[in-house]
Amino acid sequence: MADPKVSKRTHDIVERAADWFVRLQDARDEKTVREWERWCQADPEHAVIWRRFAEMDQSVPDGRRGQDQAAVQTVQLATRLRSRRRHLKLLASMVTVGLAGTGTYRYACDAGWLAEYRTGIGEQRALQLGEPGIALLLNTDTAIDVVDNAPFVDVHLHGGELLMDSVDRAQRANVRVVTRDATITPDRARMVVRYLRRGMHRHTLAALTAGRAQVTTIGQINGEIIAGQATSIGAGRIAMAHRYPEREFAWTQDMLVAENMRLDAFLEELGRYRQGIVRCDDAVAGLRVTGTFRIHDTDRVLAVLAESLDLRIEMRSRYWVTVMANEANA
Amino acid sequence: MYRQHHAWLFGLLRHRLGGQHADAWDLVQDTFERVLRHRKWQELSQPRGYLSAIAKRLLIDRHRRKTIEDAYLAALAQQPEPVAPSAQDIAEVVEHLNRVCMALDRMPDRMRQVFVRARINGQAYDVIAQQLKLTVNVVQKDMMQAWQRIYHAIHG
Repeated sequence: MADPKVSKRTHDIVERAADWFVRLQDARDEKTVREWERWCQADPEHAVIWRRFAEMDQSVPDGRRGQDQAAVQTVQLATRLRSRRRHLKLLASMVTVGLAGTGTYRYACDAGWLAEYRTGIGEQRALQLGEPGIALLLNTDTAIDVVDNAPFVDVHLHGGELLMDSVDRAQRANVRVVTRDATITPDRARMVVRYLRRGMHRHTLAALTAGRAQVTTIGQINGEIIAGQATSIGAGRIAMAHRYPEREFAWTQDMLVAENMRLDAFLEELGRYRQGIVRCDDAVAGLRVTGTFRIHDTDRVLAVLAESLDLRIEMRSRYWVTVMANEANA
Repeated sequence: MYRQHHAWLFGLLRHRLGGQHADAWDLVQDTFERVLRHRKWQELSQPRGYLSAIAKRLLIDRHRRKTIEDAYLAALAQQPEPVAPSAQDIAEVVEHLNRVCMALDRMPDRMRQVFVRARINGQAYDVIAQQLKLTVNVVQKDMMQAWQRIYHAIHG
């Protein structure tokens, strides 16, 4: 860290000057000021370096100075973003697993604007937070922002889905998941949190297969959720969605589980793993889908659906798919 | 060494920078410049490892500088009395803030927290001491060392 170009003498003077600089911030009694003056005058280099400290006092933003606010906010943002290098530790491979078969290499600093970590469509990424690590797995099209909010570490889930595993911790960790609806604090849990916005509608879902979690919604509703259920969370309510949390973990094994799901809802889910749009006709939207599908190959899933539900898949392009009734049998 | 490795580094950086040829090329030059300036580069047995480490540091610096510039411009626009400083003034401030942030990046966590709270956020030492469970003496020592580092980041 020490710059070899700086002599020891200069280094020592800077150290002394820094000491005076901090001391004089709140001790302005005569005795101290006179001692400082004596030090300043003892050597010309002392005065030169002191002048630079005085300049720094003007140029380094001070939160108490009105005219510094733009610079203050800038440094605040930069240090918040910087905290990702402290809290994110990539696994050794540094390879993102591409569900669509595209493996890409990424570095920790390659983040989306104001989102500290982002996965593309069809991509998953594994991360560790802190040491020892809490394992995080991000699903397709997910953006998170890791923020140092001492004593907590807040993982802001801007959109998408993540798995957080803190089961192996000796005690409750201080990592939380924050969505627009609520703050969720897991306690030695294995938890999936999903936060999706569909038009005007937004929705947080938390599912646990181990441990428990505290939930505080933005409407100040508090609750505890336990393993064995999937819970739907909104601003003003915490309600059980269903008792099969494992379904919400299927994506971590590259699978999608449907249980009597409407076709339009199913296609919406599938569409998260695909570039472009997948629509279906009103005529078939209400058909029910049940089964376990490998999401590695979404074209294949569509083909299987078409076959089992007697549908026609129209691909105007790879990016525009419409699912409709098979007219041959209409 | 340049002849041997510059094309490889260019390819690597171009990919990292999303296809920006000019920026990647600049970074290749900067990287080699640093390596040739500081090290006994003839003695490097694995130049690529060293080159990519330097390049990565430069990338991080570049990213930080861009972040600072964007954030500063956005913050300026949001001020109650919006100011429009000259491009030169902005460049100077951005350079300055970049050095401050670089020093902050390299500080131990506690020191950085103390400095940000005290100077950037304007918190009093005794409040910081209480919230971080330290003594005021320790806070002052951290501040002193923080200022020292910032001095060296700005003046060398």
